[in-house]
Amino acid sequence: MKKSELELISRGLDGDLSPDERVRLEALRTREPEARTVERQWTVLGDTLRHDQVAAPDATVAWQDIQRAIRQQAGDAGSASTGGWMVRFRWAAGLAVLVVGTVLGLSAWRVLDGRTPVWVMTDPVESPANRVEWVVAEIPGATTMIYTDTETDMTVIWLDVAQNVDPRDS
Amino acid sequence: MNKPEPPSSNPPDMEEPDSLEIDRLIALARRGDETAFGQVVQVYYNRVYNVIYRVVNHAEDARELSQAAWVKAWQRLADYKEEARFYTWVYRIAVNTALDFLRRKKRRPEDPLEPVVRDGAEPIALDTRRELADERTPLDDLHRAEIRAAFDRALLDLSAEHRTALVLRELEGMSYEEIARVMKVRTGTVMSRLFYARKTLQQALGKFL
Repeated sequence: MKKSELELISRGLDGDLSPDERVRLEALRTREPEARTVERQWTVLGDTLRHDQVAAPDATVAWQDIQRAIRQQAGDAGSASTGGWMVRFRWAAGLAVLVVGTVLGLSAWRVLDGRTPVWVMTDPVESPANRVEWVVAEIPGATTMIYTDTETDMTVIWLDVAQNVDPRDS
Repeated sequence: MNKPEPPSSNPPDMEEPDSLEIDRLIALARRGDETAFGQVVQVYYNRVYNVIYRVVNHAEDARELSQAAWVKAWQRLADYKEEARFYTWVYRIAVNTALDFLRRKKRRPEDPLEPVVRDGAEPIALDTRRELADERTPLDDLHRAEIRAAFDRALLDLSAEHRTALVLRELEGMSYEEIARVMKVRTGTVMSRLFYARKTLQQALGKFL
């Protein structure tokens, strides 16, 4: 049988045929014994599915469970809106405790180790490597000058060589 | 096009009120009346559970997913448009919850031989499921457990989307348009899925039919 004929039978079982299609289906039944077989078998399958039902849980008990779930979710939703700030506050408080605890712990460890705690180290020593104090220029008659450029804040080393001295003489 | 005639569907947990009564209960529920919503839940619970069960094929998962679907329905009641049928809207939530669950798990549903468990009751053997139905099935000769399992397995061999379309059509008697709305696909896709599902089941169970 053609697919279109089988579809016609399927739609006929579902009552989804136009008057013309019903005439076509009737003609098919008369002409094709296989069409009658298919129609009967599909009817049996549908009937079997309809009659093979399972026992649902008691509807009254089920409603009580549903009601509980509805109320629980409503409660959760309510507490979620007010609890949002609480959750954020708890996280912030936890983070603060962690930071303070870390500083105190490190300081205690330094004290026990015989060193200055972190919070006592208020006047760190400036590194001498950052300051140019003098420059050696092995050029006869040369003079040096060290100053900080006010625009760029860079340290400038100025080397002034006398014009009548040949550097190759050094 | 003719409106499909719905097949006999599951017996509801409680007598289904008329649509006006359902509308009244839903209107109350939308104003926050939990009791009214509870009444609606109890009307549709069994049917929603059965659809979800057929999609995921696991009793405990189906119970939890049903609960999740109803909680979502309560939370989204404001989005419900009254021109749509309420059960279509609820099924949409339920089916999406079940399909999302299967996608998340990325696994095939559980062993179809797993017994069905009722809250606080003894497990129900697969063989006895049919006894819950009001009348005998057309597959009366197939009451051996292995054959029932073959039917379950064949159903599970379908993709979740094909199975869901078939379940909504056969179990709930939904029209193509309703299934399309629930599954967010075109009606042509629904037709094609139903056709494919039937053909595949027929091929798998041909010797029993």
